Amino acid sequence: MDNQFSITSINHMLKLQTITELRDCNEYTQQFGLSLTDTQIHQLAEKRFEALEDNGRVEFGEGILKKLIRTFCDSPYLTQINYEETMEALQDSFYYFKNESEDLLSDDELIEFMKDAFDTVCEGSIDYLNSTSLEKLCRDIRNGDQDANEETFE
Amino acid sequence: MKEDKDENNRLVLFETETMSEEQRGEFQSQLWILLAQRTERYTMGDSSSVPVEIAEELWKSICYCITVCQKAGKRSSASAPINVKRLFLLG
Repeated sequence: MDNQFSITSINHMLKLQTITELRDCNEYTQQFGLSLTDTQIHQLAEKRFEALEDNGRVEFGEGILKKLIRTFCDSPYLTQINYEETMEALQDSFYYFKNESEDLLSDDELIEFMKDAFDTVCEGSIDYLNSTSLEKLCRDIRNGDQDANEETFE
Repeated sequence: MKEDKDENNRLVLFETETMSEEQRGEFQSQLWILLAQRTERYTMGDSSSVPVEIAEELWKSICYCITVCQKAGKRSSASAPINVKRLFLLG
């Protein structure tokens, strides 16, 4: 895209929007004993753009963080101590595996799969999620297995 | 073909050179909103993000349509409010 247009100011606007969204999320997640401090919110917003850049993606409007937080906040493996760190890693994984699945999975499908795996076979381990469950899912999707994302971990 | 696309980009940008700072900002934000709308349509609302390559293609298609409109002399007068979406649709 042409850099002559002020991408920096647009990014700044999007960052402010992300920060507001994350503050709103705090109200919802407090019932699960989870909340982010202002510093953590700023850090996560910053990481959003880093993750997008690292994975060669462009995002408009509200980011994926809000959806991730709302989906994962009731996970038994999420505590106040690992909350920010986990969200940061999940955000990274999301964009990475979005690419790996060649965009054949919608945001909701991928998040749902991640949450199912995270709470069951992965037992809260992001490394396990990244190196086994999501790898397998994306491999199956690329190989044309239409039902790959319907697999459950009960 | 690549040169044509670059030329489209330049023509759209040339449009902004004659604008005031305020109009330029308005033009940019409208272009950004239009790109966001085209992206949402492209993904059918399934995905909030797209690979950079796809965003670039969508960006080029917007530039192309606006350029066609400009070349056909359908651009509004300098005093009229800027409406990027209208330029795009006319193109």
